[in-house]
Amino acid sequence: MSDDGEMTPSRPVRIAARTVAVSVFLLLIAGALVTSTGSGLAVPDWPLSYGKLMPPMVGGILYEHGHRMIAATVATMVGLQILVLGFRRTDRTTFRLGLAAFGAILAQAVLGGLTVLFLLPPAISSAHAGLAQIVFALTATIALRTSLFWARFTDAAPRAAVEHGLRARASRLALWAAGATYVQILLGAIVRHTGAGLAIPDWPLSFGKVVPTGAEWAGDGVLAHFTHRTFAWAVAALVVAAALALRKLDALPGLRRLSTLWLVLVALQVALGATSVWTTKAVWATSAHLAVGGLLWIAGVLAAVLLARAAALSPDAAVAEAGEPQEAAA
Amino acid sequence: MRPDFRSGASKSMKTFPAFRPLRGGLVPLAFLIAACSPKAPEASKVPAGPPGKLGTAAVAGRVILEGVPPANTRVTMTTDPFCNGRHPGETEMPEVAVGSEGALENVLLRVTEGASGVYPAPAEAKTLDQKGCAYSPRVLAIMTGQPLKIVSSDATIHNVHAAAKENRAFNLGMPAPGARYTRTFEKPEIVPFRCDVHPWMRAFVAVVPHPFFAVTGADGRFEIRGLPAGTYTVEAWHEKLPTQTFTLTLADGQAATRDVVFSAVPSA
Repeated sequence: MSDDGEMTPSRPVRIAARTVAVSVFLLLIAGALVTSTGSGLAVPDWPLSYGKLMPPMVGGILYEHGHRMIAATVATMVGLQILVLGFRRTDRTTFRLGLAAFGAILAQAVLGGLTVLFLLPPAISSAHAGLAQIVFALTATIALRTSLFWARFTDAAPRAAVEHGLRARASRLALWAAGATYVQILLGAIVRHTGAGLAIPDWPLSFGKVVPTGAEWAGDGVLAHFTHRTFAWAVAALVVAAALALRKLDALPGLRRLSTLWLVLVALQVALGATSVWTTKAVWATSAHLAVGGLLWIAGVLAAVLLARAAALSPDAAVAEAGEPQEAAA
Repeated sequence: MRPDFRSGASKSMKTFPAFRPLRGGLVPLAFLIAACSPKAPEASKVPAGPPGKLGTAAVAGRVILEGVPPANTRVTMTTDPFCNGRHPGETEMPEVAVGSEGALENVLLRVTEGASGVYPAPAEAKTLDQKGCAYSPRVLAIMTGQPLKIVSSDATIHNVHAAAKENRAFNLGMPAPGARYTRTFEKPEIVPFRCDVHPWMRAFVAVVPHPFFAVTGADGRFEIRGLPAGTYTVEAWHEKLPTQTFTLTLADGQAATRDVVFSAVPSA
């Protein structure tokens, strides 16, 4: 057990946390299907659906009410997770993350209701999309912190021969990559909820050029769409740099695999963005683009969390805590 | 006696201190949800100004499409057994509906310049029906302040989403046949209607501030009557094709003829 009450979690905790994180990911996909099929207003009322708990599941109602049912189930699971984390004496930080996840998913439900009642204003719909990824990050971090891998990582990190400078650089890059990915998710949400997905109809060029010119900028959604596709390259560069920095820390368990996964995800995400344009927003392509975007963000979050953990457990940190100068420790 | 939600909450949460941070959020959450309930539609406002004049002149004609019509969207309605039963297999949407000799249906013709003054809205409602998982008619014109009756003849669920920009947008549930709503629009615009349950269902309701408008039928013909003598600009609007305009001068009692020709170039 660590100084903040941390110990290897029991099997029920591990299973609960992993199930909740996977369920939140499935909820994200269900939400993506709602917008991709244009079903966001197929049910005009909230919290009931056509005044009922269970309307006929036809047409767009299948996606919208299905999303609501999955959301209600997942919110209950996130709530129950708090009980599991509390009664199974998980560490304080993980328990607080559980509380935060529950608060966030309740706020998420309210945003979902508001966006229906106000007929999908882009600001509320984009906030709904952005908060969904925060819930995903919180639950994924809980799943990580309650995993056997986390315990193994915690054991191995203090003994790992990792150069302080390399770790600090990887940590900075992971934070920047995760942050940039989140900004990109918000930009994507704006594109999605302002209907700007095909504002620029070609890819990789824009109206046959590197940069749109003149009157092309006056088109609806062109600025949002171009910002999203241009910022994508900055995100991709940051993710590649962070993933390569992670590979240099192979003394720490799991980071090499995470790095490979991160690189695969970023390549897949760029391909799905292009496919969304080429297929004129096929439902499968735009939904997969949102789902892989979520995974890309989570890879960044988990990398940042693991590197912060490694930094906290490193001999450098222990020496610094004991009051020794950093130079002497190095 | 008023229930005390806060004391009830504290009792249940005393057992587990970790729940305390949740207490403060419940009451504001309830208020937020209540505050977001849809409001009743605004009462009809009569615009101020000199009364508009009616006359005896008219303009009539035919709208035709030259060339090969652009391909319409084709959909399958398998997501709803009721709709699929009425339209099995692939169904072509009547976006560009062309009849014999190029007659173009669903073109709105409205005077955009030359008509002035305030015209009283007819009390008689116009009806937008949902029939066989399609709106009927697809293009409808009403006057500002004129009631629009929205009905459903289908034994399936629909929602009516009016994506108005100048007027208040709304989204109504039509869960059963016989359901009906009446709405009015106070500002001129062309309001797109859609059913998000059945995303192929589209309609356009043109709101016009005077009675000088018409919508072409299957024969492509139109007639605008009751115009006072004067010079007018008439706009021919189609949901997919670039808008056309023409100008004409009418004398009292004159019945002018103007045909409108659209070329088969789809709008972007």
